[in-house]
Amino acid sequence: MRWSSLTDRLLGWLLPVLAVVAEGAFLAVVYVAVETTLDARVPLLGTLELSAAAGTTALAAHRRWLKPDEEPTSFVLLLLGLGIVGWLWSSEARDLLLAGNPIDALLHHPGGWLMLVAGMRGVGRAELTDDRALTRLVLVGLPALAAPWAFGQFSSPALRPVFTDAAFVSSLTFLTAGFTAAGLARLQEIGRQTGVDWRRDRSWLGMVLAILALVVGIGLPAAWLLDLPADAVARGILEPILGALGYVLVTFAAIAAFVASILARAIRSFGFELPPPMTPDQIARLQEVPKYTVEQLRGPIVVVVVVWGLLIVLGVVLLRVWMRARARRSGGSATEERSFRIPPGAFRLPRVGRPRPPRPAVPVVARDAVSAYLAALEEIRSRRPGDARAPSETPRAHATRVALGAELAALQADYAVARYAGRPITPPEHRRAVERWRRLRDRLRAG
Amino acid sequence: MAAGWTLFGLGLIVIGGAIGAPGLALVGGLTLLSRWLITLWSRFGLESIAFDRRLGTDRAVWGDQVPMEIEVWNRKLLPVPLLTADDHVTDTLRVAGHTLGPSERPGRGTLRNAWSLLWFERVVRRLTIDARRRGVFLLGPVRLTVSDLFDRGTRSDERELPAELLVRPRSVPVRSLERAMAPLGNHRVPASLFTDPARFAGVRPYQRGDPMRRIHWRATARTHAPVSRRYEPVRERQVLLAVDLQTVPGAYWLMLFDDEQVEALCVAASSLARRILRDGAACGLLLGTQLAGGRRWAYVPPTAAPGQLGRIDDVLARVQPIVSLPFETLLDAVPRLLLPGGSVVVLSARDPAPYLDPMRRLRGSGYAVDHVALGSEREMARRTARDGGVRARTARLEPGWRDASALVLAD
Repeated sequence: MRWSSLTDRLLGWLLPVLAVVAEGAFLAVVYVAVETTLDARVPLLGTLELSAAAGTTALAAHRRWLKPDEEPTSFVLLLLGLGIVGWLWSSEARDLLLAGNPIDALLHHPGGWLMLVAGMRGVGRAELTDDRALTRLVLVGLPALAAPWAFGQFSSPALRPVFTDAAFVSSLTFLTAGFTAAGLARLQEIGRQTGVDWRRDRSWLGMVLAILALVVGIGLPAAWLLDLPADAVARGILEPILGALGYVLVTFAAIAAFVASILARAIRSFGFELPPPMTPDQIARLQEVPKYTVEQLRGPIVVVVVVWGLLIVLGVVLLRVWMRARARRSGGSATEERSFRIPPGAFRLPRVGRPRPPRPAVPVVARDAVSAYLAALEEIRSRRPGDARAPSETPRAHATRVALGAELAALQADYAVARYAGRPITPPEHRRAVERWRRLRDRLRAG
Repeated sequence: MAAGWTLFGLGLIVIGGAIGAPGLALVGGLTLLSRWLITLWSRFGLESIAFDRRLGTDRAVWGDQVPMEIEVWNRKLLPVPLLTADDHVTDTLRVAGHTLGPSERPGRGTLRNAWSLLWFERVVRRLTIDARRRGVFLLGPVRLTVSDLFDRGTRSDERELPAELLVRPRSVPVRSLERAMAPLGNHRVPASLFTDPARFAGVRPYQRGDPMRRIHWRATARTHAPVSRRYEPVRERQVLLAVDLQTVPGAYWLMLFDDEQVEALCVAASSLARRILRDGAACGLLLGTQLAGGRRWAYVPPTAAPGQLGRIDDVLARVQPIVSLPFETLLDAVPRLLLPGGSVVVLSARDPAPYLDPMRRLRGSGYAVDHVALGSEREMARRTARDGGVRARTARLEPGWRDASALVLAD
């Protein structure tokens, strides 16, 4: 099987990206706990920033730009650079540095230390993206989240909601990214072992959707339990993507501002007079942007959510169609027919506990010829199990086989006449049949 | 270890509940859930999985395409991310679009199929077996394996599902270079105790004892003398096709063989049997080679009954190229199998010198013996047989047994 197609290369990128996002999310929970509990400040860094730090070193190590074992100096320098970015993320730390207090600046914001840790973890993720490593990341990381969650309980009551919200969102991100990465890596590994092209079935799509459903299913009641808004669940799933989108927009805005300033200078150089930039006073005098309540924005929000939801579904469908078409072009002569059939009793709950004992047989009372024969059979079955009448045996064949005397022969004859021939039996014959049953019973009991 | 994590998760839930930290309880719950989730499929994945394999036919002719359906049905609510079915099939089986993998069973390969199944989903996969090789192909048992999605755990179950596909050799028309060449095994029967009333042969003078219903009344009236009907004697030709599957000179127990010649012999034998049966004779088969299934030789008694060609082709399909008996021994057994007066057609692709004596003995015992030589040395073989006093012909499949349009016989 070829593993060099565009889809495979995409998957090759997706797995480390998901892995570093999971790393970043875990470190974000730790950072939030430290920042709110020890420093009593609102956290500045999030999953995206810490993931970016891990991703930077992962990319550098993957591309062999960075060789930690062979060139440790460059590795340490890169880590220091990441640490400095983390430390100076806080404006107070920057002020302290500018004021000439580098030690205070270093100790002011713990984000730098965690960026450093993220950088070190990223190097490991550059290579270790197999299913075992990623499963271990989730299975060990998930219970390890207990430590920052426990630590965060000591944060001040004012910052407790901030901690809970940020830690919950990052924990959900960790759960989503970690399980998706582990699942995709497992599918890739299974595909390698079995020769099954995972693009040609729906396991990956089903798995991603199942994980999202699981996260939403867990997240919603958990958010209610933690007294958080429901949108925290959506943020937990989408925060890295939305954060990255925000950074992209900011970058575009910066580029656009730069281009606009160059254009303005160029226009001025041609003698055109442009209005001067607005001063802060003029900006302050601008008409205030009206504020809307959630109730007022409910309609537009719903429309935006629906449109985005449809776009996502459309994207998934198109991606799926494209991948199936690619897989179909790549060969395979087997045709498949898929259908859904619910077997009868599929939703019956399994019986819990011990199986019910069989109902005891009601003893037959000999009142007439037929019941006398049936009572005789019951007596034979209980006294001599080997002589019991088989389901496939006729009364006459049974009587011949067991040879219990004239009583059973006469009883079976009466039974056959009454049941099979449908002929009435006279009252004296009924009495004689009951007498025969008694004699047979006494003989059997006597041994 | 798993129990330790479970206890850890439970502990977190209890502590979180006790100190009023729902976050801790959440992490504890997630820990328990993840531990339960990673081994979910190795515990429950194989339950209520129905698997079936159906072959379009159990007999095919070389070159046919045999449809095969594999049906798998997930009869439960739990989706199965990956179900692998390893069917242990004969390693020479060819399935279009599939390459057989290795198997731990000797002579077997693994036909691997994999699916991902949603809840209650039933999938019927259609494959095509390319019958490009004669023989007996066994299918089964099938090993079903379910893999965990987040762990390397797997669970397997083996289902027997035995099946057999018999690929018979191809059969081509038999042509003679000479127009007047008599059909194989066709010899005049001079007399018989019994006559065939369906084959009217004329009239003869009435003889004392002729039954009244045998008198030809119209001819009697015309000739003014009583005449009786005359019928052809009953003659059921019995032809036994003895195939010498030793293709390399030397001792038979050396187990040397020329695979192409063995296949050519099977094609020629099937073609001759079809021709003999079509000519109205009873045809049987005798060969001494290892057969798939363990038998060391095969004998199909001569009969012209419907289905005889199928029986012969079934035996030829089971032929393996390892000779188990010297051909001379096999020919010596003919008198115990065939009534005197029958015909023996010996089909061979090697020098007939080693079994000339048995052929001569058969002739002396009243059997009509024809030797048909196949292969590149057929002319020399024919000469040898004729020099030994046996009627001999050559047969050729040009350009080869795969592409030949006819089996051409020449005197």
